[in-house]
Amino acid sequence: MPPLFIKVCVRLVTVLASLSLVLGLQGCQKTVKPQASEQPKELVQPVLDPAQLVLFEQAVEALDNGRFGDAEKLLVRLEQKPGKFSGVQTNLGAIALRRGDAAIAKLYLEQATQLNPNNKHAWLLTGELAMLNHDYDAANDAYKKALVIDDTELTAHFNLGVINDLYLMDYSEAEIHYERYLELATDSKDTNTKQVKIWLKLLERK
Amino acid sequence: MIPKRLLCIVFLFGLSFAQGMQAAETFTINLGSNEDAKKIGDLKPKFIAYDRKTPPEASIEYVMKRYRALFESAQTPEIKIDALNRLNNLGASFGVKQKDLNVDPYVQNEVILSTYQKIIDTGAEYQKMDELLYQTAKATAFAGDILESIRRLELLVALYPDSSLMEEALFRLAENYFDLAVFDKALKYYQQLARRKPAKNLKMFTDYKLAWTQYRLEHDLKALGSIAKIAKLFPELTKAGMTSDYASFEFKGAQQRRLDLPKPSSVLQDSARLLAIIVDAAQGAPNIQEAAASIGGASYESFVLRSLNEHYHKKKRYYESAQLTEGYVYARAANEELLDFAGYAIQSYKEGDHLVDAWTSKAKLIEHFGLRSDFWAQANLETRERLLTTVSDTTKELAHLNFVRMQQQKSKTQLQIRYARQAASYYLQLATLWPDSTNTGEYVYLAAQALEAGGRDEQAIQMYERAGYEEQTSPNKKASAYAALLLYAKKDRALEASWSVPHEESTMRFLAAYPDHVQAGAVALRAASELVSRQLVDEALAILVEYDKYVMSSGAERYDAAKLKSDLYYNTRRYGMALIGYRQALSIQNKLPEKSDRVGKISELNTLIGNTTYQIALTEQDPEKKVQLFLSLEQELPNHELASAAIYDAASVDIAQENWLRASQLLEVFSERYTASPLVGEARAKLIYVYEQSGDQLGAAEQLMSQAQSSDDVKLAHNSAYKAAQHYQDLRLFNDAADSYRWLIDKPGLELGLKTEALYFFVAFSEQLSGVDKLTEADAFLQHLESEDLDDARSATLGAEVALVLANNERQNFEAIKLDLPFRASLSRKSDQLRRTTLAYERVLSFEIEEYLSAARYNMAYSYQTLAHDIMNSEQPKGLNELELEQYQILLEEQAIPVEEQAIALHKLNVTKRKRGQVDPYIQKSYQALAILNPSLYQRPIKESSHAPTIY
Repeated sequence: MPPLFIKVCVRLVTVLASLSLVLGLQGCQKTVKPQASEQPKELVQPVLDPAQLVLFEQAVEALDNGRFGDAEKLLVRLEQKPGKFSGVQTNLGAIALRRGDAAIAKLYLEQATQLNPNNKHAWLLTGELAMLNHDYDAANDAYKKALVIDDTELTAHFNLGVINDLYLMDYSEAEIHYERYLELATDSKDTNTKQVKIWLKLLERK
Repeated sequence: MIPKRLLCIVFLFGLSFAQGMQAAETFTINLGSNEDAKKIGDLKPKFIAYDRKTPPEASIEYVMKRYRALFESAQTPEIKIDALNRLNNLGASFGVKQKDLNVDPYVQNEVILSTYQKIIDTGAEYQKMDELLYQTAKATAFAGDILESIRRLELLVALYPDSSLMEEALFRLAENYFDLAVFDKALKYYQQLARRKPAKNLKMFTDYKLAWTQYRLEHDLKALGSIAKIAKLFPELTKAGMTSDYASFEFKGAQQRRLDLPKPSSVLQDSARLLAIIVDAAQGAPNIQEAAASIGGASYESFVLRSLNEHYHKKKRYYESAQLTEGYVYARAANEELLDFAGYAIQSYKEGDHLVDAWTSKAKLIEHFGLRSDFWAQANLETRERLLTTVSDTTKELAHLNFVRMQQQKSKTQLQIRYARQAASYYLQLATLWPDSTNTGEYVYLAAQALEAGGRDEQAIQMYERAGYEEQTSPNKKASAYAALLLYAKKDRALEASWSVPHEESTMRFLAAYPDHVQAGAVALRAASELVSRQLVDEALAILVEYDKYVMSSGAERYDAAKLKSDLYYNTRRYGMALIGYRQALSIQNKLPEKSDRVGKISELNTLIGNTTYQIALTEQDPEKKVQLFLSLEQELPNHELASAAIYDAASVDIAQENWLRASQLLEVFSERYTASPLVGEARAKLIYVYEQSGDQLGAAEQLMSQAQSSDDVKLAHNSAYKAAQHYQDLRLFNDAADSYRWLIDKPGLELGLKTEALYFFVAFSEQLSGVDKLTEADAFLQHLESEDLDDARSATLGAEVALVLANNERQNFEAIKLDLPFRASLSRKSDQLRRTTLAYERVLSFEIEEYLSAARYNMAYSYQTLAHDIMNSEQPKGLNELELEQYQILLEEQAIPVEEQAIALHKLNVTKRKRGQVDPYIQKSYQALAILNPSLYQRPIKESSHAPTIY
């Protein structure tokens, strides 16, 4: 679990506990049991300005259309405003990655995963960046984190299958992800399923 | 006629007394008793009353002038005689000696005799025949005819036994016979006269002359009896002592006015002389007691003694006088009178120049009458007061005499000791006699000196202290107090002991009382030293910090005090105070007159100042102040033995404070100035450190090489050279680095690790060095490793790296070989080279260094891959047809495929050897090669991820 996430959770629990105690004391005759310490379900996010959201959506649209320059400007404008959002940092990292600037991409993606460890896209891009750097172990970790968030993520299963098959030589693990990929890849036009099936066959000989 | 003249005489007589009547209210003059009148002149009225008339004012001179005129003008013999008698009486009574008023004796005698003759010639009965006889006897005696005078007097005595002039006649007869030494007749007339009970003074004179006459007639006892009669007339004589004036004795009784008798005191004095003559002439020693008994008893002993003494003195028989007196005095119980006699005896000795005896006599006097005598003990306060001057004067003389004699003795003899003790005794008596005198202190001081000379040190100390502190009027109190200290010191020295408690107390007392004494400074110094020797440092410092109050102390003493004080501060780690003190001492020393030891002392002080400054610096907590203190020492005293240490320590402080610039400057100065210092090596090491820390690698390198070349420590030298080379290397001064390594490589006993590094340098930086072949150096390096069998991590790493260099070179050679025709030959050459290349990479692998393993494996795989590729692309033989070419191509493939499979196998081996987390470019290259050589299996691109559609 990301350190920031834990830190935020601990702080929240502490605040709630203190608040409960105060209420308990003030209530005198009322019997209010303090809340037990629980894992927070959601992170405390900065208040989102609707204008910011508009800008973000505009940036996503630009990315969808391959207008990385426009997207970057919008995202930088968003970044300069109060409050940081994991999605903004993720997409700035994605733009740097596509541009081949691995160092900048690493910086943004680290910020993104710290701001919100539940950001699947940030982990997927982190895995891709690690593969670019031939850091197969880091890539394996990043993709697995993405799967923790979303076990149905096809890209993650596919890439984990390749990484474990070719680079980490963990064939059983590779088999699991290949098979999971095949389970989830229901799109008949997906050309990769045919290859994955071949790789599964090849695995049997390893 | 006669009555008229008589009236005139009476008138004149009245006038003569008018002078004395002026103040009388009644104007009545008592002229005496008519019954006592014996001559014409004595006949006068009892009263002359001037009740109604103021008496005429006439002086006695005027009256005598009128009598003189009457005497000269009178024609009648009786009147002339009367006038003459009156003139004589007036002159005698009033003491008028004026010539013009008196009648010349010769004229007088002539007148008397001629008048007497005229009266005889007249044949008339003269009523005053006895008087005429008497006067003519006198006149003839005056004229020198003693016998005629005696005849007339004897006639008068015989014819007029009742004459009023009988006593005078007897007197003159006795006198005349005495003068003629006809003592028996003189005795007869004196005795007749004495029997007539004349007036007291005449009686005394008669007894006196009787005494002499009897003495002449050798009737000594009778003479003494006559003297006794005289003595009885002077009751004070028994208490007169030895020196009182006889004239002061009261003589009671009527006086014979007409006779010109000597004064009673003179008679007494000459009687005493006679007494002495008689007593002295007796057989044996004069017996005072017997003589006194003859005179009237024991109460006259002193008179006898006095008479004898006066007699002896007159004869200059002083010694006898003194002896006689001493014998008399000291044979009796002491009394006040005897003290007087004892003094007289001393005086007699002195007058006779018997000085030694005089001193002895003084000593006897003090023994019998002095402070320590029984007499003094029993005397009451009044007596003591009366005798105090005599006793104290004599005591003082004796004290001084003995003191001087003591001083005159050149060596410490028994005699000197005796004099000293005597002097001390007398001075102490004096001090007791005069407890509150201004001289008391002086007496005590002199007594102390004498006691010291007499070997009585304990008592001397007590007296010195008494004179020094208790006798406030003593002029020598300071000297005395100091003398006590000297004696204490002498005593302690004799006992070879440290200061006694009294010595210490006396010293402190002296310092407190007399800080202005000329020796106070020296005493204070000795006291401080003594206290220090007893570990009483604070007590010693208490004296020394107030040393300025010893205003008479010399410069040398002040110097010693300041230095001692500073030493004490230093030894008790009060360095700040010590430094102040040493500087004070230096200032004093600089002002002192030049002396031979001055340079040495100044040098010593500078050394101490340096030491102290150094200690202060060591204890200073503030780094900057600490440095400044060290530097002040070095700057002020550059030749001080700690100067080098100071600058070294200052640099050390700066190093601790990371003040690299100043630290380096200080150490550079140190290196220049103190080349002989034992700290040179350490200073250089520090300087190297400072250079390194401050980024001055060039400086560090130079110092390191210098250290390497100068150090006797082989290991240090080798390490220094190695570090120097590294600095040069960092600075890209490769040739300098190479020089350092070369210097190092040749050194015997060089540590293998260092040699490895040095040899490696020439491999690694061969391109930067002129005349160095990298491959040669690499080969040499590997030979070194193998020959020394070095398998440590560093050697293995470097070995792998260098082996890789050689392997890559082999590979390059391999790649350079073209497979041209004839193919077999070229293939053979290339295969051989491939084998060498493979061996070279296997050599790399043999070091088992991870980072080189993948490179070696990849390059081996790549070499096989290259050979397979080169085989397939080798030069084709010319002149082959299409089929032959195809067959030739198949043959080539048969040759190339096993080689390529070998390449694939090596790449696969490389990727499978990858460690978890290892990101290695050669692994990556192997994957890339595999993707090319076996794309179906290894060409698997991952799927790209999309951007985030939500803001998260």
